[in-house]
Amino acid sequence: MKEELIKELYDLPSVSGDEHELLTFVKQYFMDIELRTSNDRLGSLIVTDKNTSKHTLMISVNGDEWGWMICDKENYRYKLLEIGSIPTTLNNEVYATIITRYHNRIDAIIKKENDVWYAYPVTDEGIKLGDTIVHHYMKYRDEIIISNQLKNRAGVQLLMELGNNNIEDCALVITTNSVVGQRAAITSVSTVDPEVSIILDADYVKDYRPNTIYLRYFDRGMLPNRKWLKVLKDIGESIGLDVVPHFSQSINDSSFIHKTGKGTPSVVLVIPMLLNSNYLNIMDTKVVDTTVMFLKEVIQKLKDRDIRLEIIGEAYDQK
Amino acid sequence: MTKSNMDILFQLSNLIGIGSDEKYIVSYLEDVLQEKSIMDGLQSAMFTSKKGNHDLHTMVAVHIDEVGFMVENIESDGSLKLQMIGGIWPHILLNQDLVVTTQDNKQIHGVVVSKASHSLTLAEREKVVSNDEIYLDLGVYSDKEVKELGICIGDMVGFDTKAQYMNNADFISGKAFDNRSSVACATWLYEYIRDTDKHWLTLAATSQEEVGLRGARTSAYVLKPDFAIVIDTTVAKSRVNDEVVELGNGVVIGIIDAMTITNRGLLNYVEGLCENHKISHQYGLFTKGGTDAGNIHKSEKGIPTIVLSIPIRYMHTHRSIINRKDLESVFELLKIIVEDLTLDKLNYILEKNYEYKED
Repeated sequence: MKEELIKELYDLPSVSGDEHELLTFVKQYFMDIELRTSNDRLGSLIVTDKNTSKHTLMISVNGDEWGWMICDKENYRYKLLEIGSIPTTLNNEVYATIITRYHNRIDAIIKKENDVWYAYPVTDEGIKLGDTIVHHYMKYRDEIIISNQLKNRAGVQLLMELGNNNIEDCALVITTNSVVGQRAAITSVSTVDPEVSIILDADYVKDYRPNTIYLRYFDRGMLPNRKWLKVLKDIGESIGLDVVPHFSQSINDSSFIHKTGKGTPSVVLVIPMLLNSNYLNIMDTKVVDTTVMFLKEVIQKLKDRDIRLEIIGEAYDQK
Repeated sequence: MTKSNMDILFQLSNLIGIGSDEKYIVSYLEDVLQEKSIMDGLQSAMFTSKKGNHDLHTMVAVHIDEVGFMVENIESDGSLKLQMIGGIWPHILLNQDLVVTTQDNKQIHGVVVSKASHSLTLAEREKVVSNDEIYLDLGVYSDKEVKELGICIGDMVGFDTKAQYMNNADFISGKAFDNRSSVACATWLYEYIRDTDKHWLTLAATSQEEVGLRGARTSAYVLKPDFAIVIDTTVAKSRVNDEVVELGNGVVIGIIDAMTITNRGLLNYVEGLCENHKISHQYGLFTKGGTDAGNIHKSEKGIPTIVLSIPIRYMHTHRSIINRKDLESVFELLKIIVEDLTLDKLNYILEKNYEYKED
């Protein structure tokens, strides 16, 4: 992807519940490369190949970010609600952008005073209760991205790259309402109804090495399906990649994707970040290329397999 | 607001219906609406109007349960140990009038025990009584008399309060306005729809909201509606509560709560309707509680949902206060929505999202 496109992607606002502008941008990208797009009823974006007849594999990432929402006006300032987990290392006074009802931008300084965030905008005009606020930082140089948006944008960027390849029988999904409780994880997996799923999660990797795939063996929301984990490990090793187990105390969409409805065998695929930080982080964009290469191979290898039968066995027949 | 509409509100407030035992509310609704309900597995009661030529099926969800208690034990001295059902601050319970409903529908009155002020130590005066220390004094000599009254462990116990107008008749006090005030609005709407055939609507009187939005989950699964309107109450400003929402300022359009964020297109739609039709409105951003929408909106493939709330003072106590003007605003808005919204329009609003503007 071109540098300008990546920078534009990272600049778009996407506070939980207000992801539409980001999803519209991404949807247009996929439509321009002639993929089919649709949404679930909570607005999650679902992308498939025009030849797709069934959803063998769902590859998903959350598209929403943490931020703030205006909840009250007190004289010359606006009181804010936190949406999602605001990083503990964020300064108590930062530059931010207010996103109004119709997505006009208003610059502001936001400050934390006695444990409560307040916004001081350059103008009051057009601001209403419920408007969201974002604080973005992004630098892209020499294939390295430094940003506070990597947690969600890295995965979106990766799916956009993946979409340039053959994704037949695969659904690429960008979920909404995730950082506030993985809500559209439920609705998206119910809509797509895949046989197996991979959830992308950008996370710190200790001792990062290139040409390596990191599969999550444990996090607070899901224990991966062991057979599906082995299938993915075997595929990674067959194309010369190292496959390394990853452990985390975090929680993500997988916590609901795997246990919704009849259940979906799921594994989290980690997008390596170089810092153990919940605010600013660093990503070597070569990891996107490695991961895309791996996922291409997975999609290809699943073509002639009844993967769900292999992993789960016969489905329960009520008759 | 007609006299009969207010009668319905007062009756609903006075009835006892603790989570999982809402039968009196359901019977009352069946009687008022002259219609038998269909139930889901948690005994949420659903009343559905004729589909006719309408393509949009709307679920109007109102929880019918109230916070209360269950008899946990009959003590030897004839007092009842109580288990709370739903969130109640014990501080407001001391010496309150409660009523036990027996298995054969008798109502037995009692008083919550408390220490006389003379007997309190300084340390006790500073403490709030714990959830484990709520007992009901029935004014009997022993447990033998309690059993003769027909009271059993497991019987439900509610606040013994009757609704009444306050010194300005716009204000009404009573128990269980969370959520019977909403049930009243939904009942008026259902009668209006049935008489005018303007929409295909299900009034879903959901059970067990106060203990985890349980009936909302099951009723949404059964109905699979295209769209849902949840009507509930929200904490309002008072002498001791510094909130954004105030009594008398109109219907509260929900933007965010602990479990739901309203779709931006639907927010613009509802806000636009209020502005165009000059309906008094305010905004709900209370994140310390949730509503049935929390389970409805993410049911299966997702159900686009809005939350309309009625401001209430002293929620989850034996006597709350609401303002009838707010109920009027809710009812007016509901009528406008059901007369205006079609499936095509809903899908268009969802597609446009924040870009949607109601003309």
